[in-house]
Amino acid sequence: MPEKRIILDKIEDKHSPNIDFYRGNGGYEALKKALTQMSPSQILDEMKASNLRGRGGAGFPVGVKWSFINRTFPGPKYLICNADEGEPGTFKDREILQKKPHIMIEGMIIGAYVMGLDAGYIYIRGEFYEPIQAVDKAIREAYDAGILGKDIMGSGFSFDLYTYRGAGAYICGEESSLINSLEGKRGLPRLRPPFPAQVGLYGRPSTVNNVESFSAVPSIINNGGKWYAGLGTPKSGGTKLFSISGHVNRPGVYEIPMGTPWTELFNDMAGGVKDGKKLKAVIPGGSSTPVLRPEELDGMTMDYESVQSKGSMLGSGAVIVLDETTDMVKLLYRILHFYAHESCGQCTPCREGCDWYYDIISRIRHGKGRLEDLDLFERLAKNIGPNTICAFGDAFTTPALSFTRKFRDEFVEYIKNGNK
Amino acid sequence: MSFAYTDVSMKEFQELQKNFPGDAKGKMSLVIPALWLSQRQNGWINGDVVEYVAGLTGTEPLHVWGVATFYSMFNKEPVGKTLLQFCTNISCGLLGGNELIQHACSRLGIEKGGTTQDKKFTIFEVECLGACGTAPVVQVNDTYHENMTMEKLDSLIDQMSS
Amino acid sequence: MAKITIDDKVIEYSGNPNLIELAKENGIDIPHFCYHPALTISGNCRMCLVEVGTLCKNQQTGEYEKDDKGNIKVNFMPKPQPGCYQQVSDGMVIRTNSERIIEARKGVLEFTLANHPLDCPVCDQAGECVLQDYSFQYGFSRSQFIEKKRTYKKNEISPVLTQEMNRCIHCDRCARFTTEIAGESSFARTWRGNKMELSVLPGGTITHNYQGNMADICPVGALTITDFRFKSRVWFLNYGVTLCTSCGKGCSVMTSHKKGKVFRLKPVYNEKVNTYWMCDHGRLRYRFLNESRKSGHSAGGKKANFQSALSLAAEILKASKNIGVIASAKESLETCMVLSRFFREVAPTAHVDYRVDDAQVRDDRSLRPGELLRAKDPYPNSFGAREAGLLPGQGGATAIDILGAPEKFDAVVLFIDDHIIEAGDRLGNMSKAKNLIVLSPFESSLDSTAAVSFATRAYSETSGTYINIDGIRQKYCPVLPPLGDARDSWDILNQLSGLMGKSFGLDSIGKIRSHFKLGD
Ligand SMILES: Cc1cc2nc3c(=O)[nH]c(=O)nc-3n(C[C@H](O)[C@H](O)[C@H](O)COP(=O)(O)O)c2cc1C
Ligand code: SF4
Ligand code: FES
Ligand code: FES
Repeated sequence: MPEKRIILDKIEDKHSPNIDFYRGNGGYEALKKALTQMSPSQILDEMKASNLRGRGGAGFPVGVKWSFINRTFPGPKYLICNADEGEPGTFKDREILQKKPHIMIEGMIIGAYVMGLDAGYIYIRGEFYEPIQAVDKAIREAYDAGILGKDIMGSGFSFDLYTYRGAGAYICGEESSLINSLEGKRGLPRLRPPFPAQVGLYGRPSTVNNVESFSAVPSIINNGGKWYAGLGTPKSGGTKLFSISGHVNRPGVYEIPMGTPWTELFNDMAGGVKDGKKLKAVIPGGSSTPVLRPEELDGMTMDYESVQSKGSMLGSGAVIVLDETTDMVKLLYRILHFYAHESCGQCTPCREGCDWYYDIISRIRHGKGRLEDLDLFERLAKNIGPNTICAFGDAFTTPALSFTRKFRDEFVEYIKNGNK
Repeated sequence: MSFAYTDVSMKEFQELQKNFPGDAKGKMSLVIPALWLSQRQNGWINGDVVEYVAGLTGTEPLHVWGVATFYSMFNKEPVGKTLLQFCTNISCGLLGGNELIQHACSRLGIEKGGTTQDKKFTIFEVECLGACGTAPVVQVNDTYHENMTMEKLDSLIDQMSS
Repeated sequence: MAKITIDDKVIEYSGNPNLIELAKENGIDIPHFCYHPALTISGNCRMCLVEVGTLCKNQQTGEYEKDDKGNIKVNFMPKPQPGCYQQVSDGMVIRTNSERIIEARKGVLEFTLANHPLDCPVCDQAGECVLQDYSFQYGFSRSQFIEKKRTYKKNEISPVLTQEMNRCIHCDRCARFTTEIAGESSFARTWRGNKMELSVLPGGTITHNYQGNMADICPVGALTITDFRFKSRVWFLNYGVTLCTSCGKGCSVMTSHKKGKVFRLKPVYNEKVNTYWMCDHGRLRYRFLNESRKSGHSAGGKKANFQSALSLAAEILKASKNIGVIASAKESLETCMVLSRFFREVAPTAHVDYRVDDAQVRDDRSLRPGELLRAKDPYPNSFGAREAGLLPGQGGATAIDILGAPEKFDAVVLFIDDHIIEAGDRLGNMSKAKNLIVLSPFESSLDSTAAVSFATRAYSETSGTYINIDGIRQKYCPVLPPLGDARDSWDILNQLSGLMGKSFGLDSIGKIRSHFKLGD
């Protein structure tokens, strides 16, 4: 299977960000079809049939999430696009934001139409200054073209869309802290229930989806949910963007059908390990997913189920390739530094746990580790992930456990003989 | 109070107001955008900025301070004219990010997190910038510089020094 | 009625109870730090984790599924849930002491303690520390935290409170109290993650009048009351419940004392009056109970025994036609009743008044602006004094009149309380009074000019009833022994009535209550 570019179609063209180019290549036709020929419930059926699963990391079916909104609930309701893209290794959303923002906007308007939402916010991480400019420009173009604002395309449906700039906090990718941040507060995850579909932005019903999730919507409307589902595996519909980086010859974002063999993505598209070195390991779904050893990659295909069957997770589709020279101790040290820096701090096991983990790995990295530290990782983990408010707890224990289990020798070496 | 928006900032702020509901909740949403405008104008978030933003957004200064201290991109201390932010997270780290920041530090004679005496440069080590495909990445003020090399870094610093 | 099962105990409930409260009412303690019944739920400490299960129902038949033994199967949620936040529903099964929960609790506690300095030997909270209690209960001996502990820079947050951020467990109770109860935005979480602090705005301070409560609800020693710092280990103190007398609200308080000295006041839950709180003004005014206290009587500036003081007072009152009486609304309803009767029947006069403060003159029942509890009226029993009729009769002088020109009266009976002393200038003219009879728990310069000065018991050393600004009657009991020969004011008046030939025979508080039909 080669790359199948649906979202990324013609993205390399320098005019790709412009509305004229987008429309010239079939853009906003899906919106027109949705607004003029389809009822919200018909669209919802197509969405459910498409098997599109959320691309932000958790993989929750988009059609199902959209059906949680009671479209007749009185008062304002909101749509939120999660463009926080913070999971280390992930850089696919930036591609869309910067180079093809209209496809995401089109998907958002369709979503808003389906769920009867009044306004939308695209929450973009603060570092993405240039992507924000690109999205702002696209929004202006869409307003000028009558695609946003009042009475979109003469359909009677109205929807306003804005960008919101984050300010440096990985946790704001978690949807409930994102909502708090959007409300001008500290980005602390909220207790659930209630879920955003009942109590979201400003206490109103809201839906949060990832940039890529929205960007997949137009093709589903154009070609039907069945078609989209058919592109992938029975349980993972459509195509997915993979960000591949690290020790690889052709890093970048690749769009492939779900179920594409790992070897195709890795060897044929990304060109294999950089500089002809040997492969040591792969982190398949972003820094919080378990690392896989080369032998575990045998027969793996790029879809939720297959990666899971190998003991890891597809996550946000962020593939990080590690060659034989990689120092796993230093790498874990760097990863745990990240998590210790990014915990929101509200709940005890996470606030104390991620710093504790970082202290332990710091000692190991600096030659002051003890063998029992590896067991300590294991023991502490049992009381972090299950006991925290949000999934951040799992996000930092998971790499620590998988690194130390799968590359135990290297950690033991540091502990016994120090950092050479 | 020694901080206030320039006309340009104020105009932008007023434009932003239209993005949110007009009630108190909507006004609170403006805290982060207002801090951004302040930081662009003032370089960092000090007590005067906090008071000013609280006044603009109908919130309490301590709320604004709580927000400013939560988000790492708001500078709670002054920074140099050119802010060099080196990503050393996974992919950037694998591909030379650490060496780049070391190089910049020794060339400018400062530590990570430090500012040169002439207030021209500040160096931060930052987390993944979401551009790992073009690692290593250095963010110079608002702009990403990707596929960074020692040579490119040197000429960047040369350019910014003059 | 809906039912849930907590640890095999079937509990009926109605409405939408909080699980921690419901368990508590049924004798089951769910450990917690951040939950407080008067504050919004934050769910951050994770100490209250419980297992939550629901009964398995067959989707088709609608019947409960049973195991081999015929018990209904229970589906437990995969992760423990915070009890403070758990919505209770009919048929729910909760486990608060399963192996898994004990393990989770120990785990959470280990994290809570990881960076805690464990400086109990120098911590004022020791003995009243929830963290210390749970640590003993669940044991922290196994902690393998060998890292350097986190330390914070020390911050001044207010004159009332001392913050020891290193001890903080980040439960956010103090900050929620500040915004939700005190209505001030002066203390909140700042910074992030492991560096998160509870702090004031740099250079700012907490100004509200309820800060002591922040120390009370702080589960550890991160916030302590500066006034009480290093004064005493709490286990050396004695405790007694009474009322605060520093305003018309009359909050219920716990007095901590040692060797007859009061060390501090703390609020006691009182649903009708103060719930969990009290104000700092009242809390820190306990000092008056320790200072310049009078233990014996005097006559003409010289020590006198009680009987001779009594006889002298009786003679003065018998001989005086025109008596001015300045009563005190710090005295109990019982005393006020006796006093009122005394100056109607034994030494009749129209010049009786308790109203030495403007708020009393206005009969003001309102709170001070912006306050949660503190009333404008600085007296705890103005409405008791009023009910007793301690007001000028036809043509009678007011308290203000008497204070202004005491020399116009043949004799003046003056109750001196802590408030009038504190107010300073009020008693300025009193040295001009002829035949001054003082009743007071406190020494004052008037003792030297008074014809007679009785030592009376402070409210903390006696019992009685106060009627607060909301008309609520509250009884109080002595928490400290009386000083020396100090007497109850009603006792003095009762004995005077005997000496003056119109004996009331009201020689106990019980008799007073029944005589005046004050209930029992
Ligand atoms: C710690 C944490 C970080 C997250 N970061 C992101 C992110 O950067 N981008 C994103 O789209 N979703 C992120 N998520 C997932 C969101 O909470 C949410 O599930 C997602 O935005 C829903 O959109 P989707 O269903 O379209 O994937 C994160 C979740 C957690 C727990
Ligand atoms: S798990 Fe961590 S990031 Fe999530 S709410 Fe708790 S402290 Fe915050
Ligand atoms: S690791 Fe540097 S941009 Fe992602
Ligand atoms: S008491 Fe429930 S989480 Fe703190």
